[in-house]
Amino acid sequence: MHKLLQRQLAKARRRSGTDQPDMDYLLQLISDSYDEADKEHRLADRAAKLMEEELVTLHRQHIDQARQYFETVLSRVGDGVLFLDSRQRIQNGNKQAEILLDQPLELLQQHPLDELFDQAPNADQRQLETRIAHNQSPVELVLSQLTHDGRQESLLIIRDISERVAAQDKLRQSKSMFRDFAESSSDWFWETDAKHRVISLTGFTPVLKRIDQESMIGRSRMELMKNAPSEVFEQHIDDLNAHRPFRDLEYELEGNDSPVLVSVSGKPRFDAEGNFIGYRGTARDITELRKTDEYLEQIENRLRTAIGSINEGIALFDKDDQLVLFNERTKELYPQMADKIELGVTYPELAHTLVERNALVLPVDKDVWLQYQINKETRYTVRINTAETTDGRFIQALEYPTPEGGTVGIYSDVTDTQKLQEQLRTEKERAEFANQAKSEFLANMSHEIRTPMNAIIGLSHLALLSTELTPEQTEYLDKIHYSSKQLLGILNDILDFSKIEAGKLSIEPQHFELSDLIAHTDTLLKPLLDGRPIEHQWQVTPNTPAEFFGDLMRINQVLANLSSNAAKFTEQGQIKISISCRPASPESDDAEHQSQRPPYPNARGVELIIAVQDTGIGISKEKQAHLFTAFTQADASITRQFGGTGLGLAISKQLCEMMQGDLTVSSEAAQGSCFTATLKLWSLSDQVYKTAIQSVSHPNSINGNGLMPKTELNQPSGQPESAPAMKETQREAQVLLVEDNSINQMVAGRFLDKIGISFELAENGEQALEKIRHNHYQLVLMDLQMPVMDGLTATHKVREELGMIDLPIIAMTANAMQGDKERCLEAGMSDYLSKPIDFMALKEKLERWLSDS
Amino acid sequence: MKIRQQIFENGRWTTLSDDGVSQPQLVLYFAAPEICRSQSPYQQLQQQFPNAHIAGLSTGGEILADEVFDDSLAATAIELEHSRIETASVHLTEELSSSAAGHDLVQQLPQEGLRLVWLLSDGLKVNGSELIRGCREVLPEEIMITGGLAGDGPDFTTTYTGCNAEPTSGQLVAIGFYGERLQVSSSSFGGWDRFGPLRTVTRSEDNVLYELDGQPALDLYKHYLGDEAQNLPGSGLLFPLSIRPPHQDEGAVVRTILAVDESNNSLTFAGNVPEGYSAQLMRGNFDRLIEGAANAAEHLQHQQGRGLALLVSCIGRKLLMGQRINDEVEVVADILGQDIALTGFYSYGEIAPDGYTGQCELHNQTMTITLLQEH
Repeated sequence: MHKLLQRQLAKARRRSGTDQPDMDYLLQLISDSYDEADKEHRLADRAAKLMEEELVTLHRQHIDQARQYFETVLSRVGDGVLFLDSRQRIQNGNKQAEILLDQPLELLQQHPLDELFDQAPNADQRQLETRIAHNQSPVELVLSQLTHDGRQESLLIIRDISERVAAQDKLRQSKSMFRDFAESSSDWFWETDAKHRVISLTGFTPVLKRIDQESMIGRSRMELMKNAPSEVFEQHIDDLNAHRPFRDLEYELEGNDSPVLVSVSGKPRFDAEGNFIGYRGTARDITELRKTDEYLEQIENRLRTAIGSINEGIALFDKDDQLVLFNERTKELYPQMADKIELGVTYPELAHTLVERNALVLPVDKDVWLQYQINKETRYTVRINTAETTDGRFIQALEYPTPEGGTVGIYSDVTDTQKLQEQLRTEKERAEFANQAKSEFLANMSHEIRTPMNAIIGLSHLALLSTELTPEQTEYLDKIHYSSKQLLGILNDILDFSKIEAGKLSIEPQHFELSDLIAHTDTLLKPLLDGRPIEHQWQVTPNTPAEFFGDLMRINQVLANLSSNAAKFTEQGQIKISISCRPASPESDDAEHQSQRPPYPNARGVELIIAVQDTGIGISKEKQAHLFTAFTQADASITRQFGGTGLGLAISKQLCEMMQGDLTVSSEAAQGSCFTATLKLWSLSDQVYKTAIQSVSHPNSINGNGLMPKTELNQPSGQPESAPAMKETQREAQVLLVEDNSINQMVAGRFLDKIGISFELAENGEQALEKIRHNHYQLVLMDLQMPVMDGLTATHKVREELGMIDLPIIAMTANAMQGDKERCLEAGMSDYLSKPIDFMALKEKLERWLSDS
Repeated sequence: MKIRQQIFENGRWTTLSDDGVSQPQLVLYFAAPEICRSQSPYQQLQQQFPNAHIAGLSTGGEILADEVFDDSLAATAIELEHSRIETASVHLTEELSSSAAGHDLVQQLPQEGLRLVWLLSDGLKVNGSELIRGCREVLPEEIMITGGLAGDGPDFTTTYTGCNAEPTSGQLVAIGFYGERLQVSSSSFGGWDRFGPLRTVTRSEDNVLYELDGQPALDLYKHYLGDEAQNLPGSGLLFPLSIRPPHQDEGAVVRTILAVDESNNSLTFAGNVPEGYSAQLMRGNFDRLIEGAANAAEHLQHQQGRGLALLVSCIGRKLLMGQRINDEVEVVADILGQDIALTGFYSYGEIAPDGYTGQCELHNQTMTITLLQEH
């Protein structure tokens, strides 16, 4: 019985609980087992059928896909492919074959292979390089056998190798080019094998003479390096064993005559499998280069030693402002930033450090200073290059641009020099101040003396005009008047000299005529010669211009001094005054002279030469040396004998020099003297002075009565016999005299009375202002220094407050120093007179200003 | 070791064998789902063995001695002479993942002296692969894990497990076997043949398979099942799926269908079906399946003396072979001999170490045997 049926029976018995099986249950079990068997069969059949279907589909898909792959490969492969039958006729082919052979497949099928290519492959030579027949393109052909259904067929692969051929050409060219480069370069190329033996050298020619190329081939690097220092050798062997690239390996090769120093660089070579096969690289002979380097280093060392030993700090900055060279002295000079001074630091960093560490006493704001120093545009234009350090030293920094665009700085400690200069400057200032104080004192003293002198001269003059004097009184008064005038002359000399010393005397050029100069001198000289047998003679060179531009007053002063000296020291004979003129030589056209060029179109620079020659006592050579020095005369005894301050010649010489000229003397004792004044002036017209020679003779004036000419005592020089009256219209004018000093009030007042001008008096500026406000005056004579309100203030108020711009106001001042006149004119005054009042001058001013009004 | 085996069938208990068991530590039972629902198996056994751990589950067929039963309650009382037993259970919740549940379950067992953990898992609410992973988080590799997923005949509706209480749905039970002298051995073989083209899992999510080779997997199964398609998901077990990592010939596992979802053309398997894996349909041949069971028995480490073999075989085998299923149990009984008592059940998934990797895996469509002996 089937095991399953036995089991079904057992189950059925268990079901019934007896030996008799439950039949219904048994039948059910049996039926079920049939169904189960059927189901199993059904499922198995179905699965088998489905599986087969699926597998067939899959197989077909695989075949389709394989064909697709094949076709894709054929079309993309890049090579041309032709399928040939057993007789080598073309059966099929891919697109690339058509393109390469430039014919459609149908046409290709009509050709045997050897018509398509220069050479066709066959069973003996399956692979070859040839060309396509119609266009000569290079191709590689590979023929392989295919067995298809037992038939021998073949496959021909056509590979376009034109690029490969071109690349080979290029490679050949490149190799040739490489060889050319190698041979023309000073480097040579080498190759070693795996055991580091030299196997090839290219471009070795340049050193052939010094090393035998043949002897190099086959030798190993270790042999070649036998003279190298052991550490270099060992390092290099390490590199080689590790197959590391190396650069600039230097060692000495044995040369034919002497060792050759070479520098070698190399890279390891590996074959396609990555096996080490040797090194390849370049090398060059650096023997000469190294010699040059050593030479340069030597020079540089010398330079460094030199720089290091000098006493100045030196620093060199490159074009990027980086410090590239300096000496120790630099650090010593700037101890506050010695730690910062090192190679590579920049100029701006150092400048900032100086400021941050407060090393310098800066003359300007620190940011301005920094900006000025850091900017290369301004750095080299620093004018004050000496800086004081905060520790009390002075350092001079001279910085210049270098041709490379950098900066070189030279720094020196100038503390000692600076202190010496400072000391000298102080001393000089002190001396100058002392001298100036002296001059000011003299000027002030002169002023103080002039005020009383004014009174004496004025009053004696007025007294002499009186008719009721006894001859004795007249003589006394005359002597008082003469002496006081002489005293004034001395005073004026001292004043002039003080002005010159104090630098307060200036040349004030104006237009004048030569005839004025001659007339003035004549007027002065004539009384001095009175009574002596002296011929006075003028000699004017014919072409001398008639008009000049120059300081007539000062020229007068010089000529008066020279001619009065001549008169003073000449007892008899001749006094000749020669005047000549020549164009100023171009080289003497100095700037000062040019700066005084007058505003006249025909002005020409000239030299006026005035020579005063006498037949007097003469001057010895020794004495001539001190002649022009202040406070000395030819002989101290002369002062006593002839009088005078001894300042006259000194002043005259100074004046000549101020007029860009000179004063010289030629003389011999007892032979007479000749003083020559040379003055640079301007001639103003082509008109020449007319009277060529003017001679004045005093044959009868020999007077043996003492040295002082008698007439001098009777006739005060330059003074009129009596005061000439003013014109009618001028006499009607009303003048306001503003003067606080009662003597001066009297002197001036009397004089105005004498010339017939009516006046009113005001004692100070305030009174004057009040009177001017209420009365009508044609002119005001104004003292400057007064109580309550001074003259300058009063004048200012007249002009500004009263608006009387045209009222002539003439200043009268004892302040004879330079600058007074300017101050007066600035305050609005019309003109200026200096005290003591010279009556002729006063009259002249009055005539001028009253006629103008 | 003493063993007593008894069967409750047609309303009667029948004792098949008894070594004189008096104080069993463990009573194992395997029952038809209907019995679990209505016959209070725990109560019946607890009255008989009040001091034993009583654990069991619902099946797709019960194995006792050399026979396969249906609609029965098969119980085996085990009295261990040198070993001891611990049990643990965990109820599955919505929040608790399969791996976390496995973790919590075996965490309850002391590991000192533990040799084997035999798992009784709900058959439908658990991803067996994840369950094993969770257990392995706690248990070291030396401790063997075997067991099975409960069954619901061919219906795939409700499964039950019980541990010292009446069986209930949605529960995991673990029985821990302890003792120096306990020898455990396991073996698992299928005997199914792969057929048809190799396919690729192109869309899946854990144990839910959507597509093979870009085609709905459910359609493929329906196509092959023909008329049997109406019996899905049960009939799906007739064509198990062999899956293996891509481009590998070894490490293949077999997966059976637990459920189908017509709405999204998906199939739910008892274990994971990872995307990218290779998949191939399998079919059974009676002789080859019986040969597979014999193979499993022959691969056990078998000693002289009394022993208990716990057989977990797949419901799929039984569905295909019908009444001939008894042949595979008989062949195992013949190989193991008289001294080894057999019990077991037809399951929705077998848990055992993989024959090739040695790692515990969820299997389907196999005969899995765990042999317990004391020396």
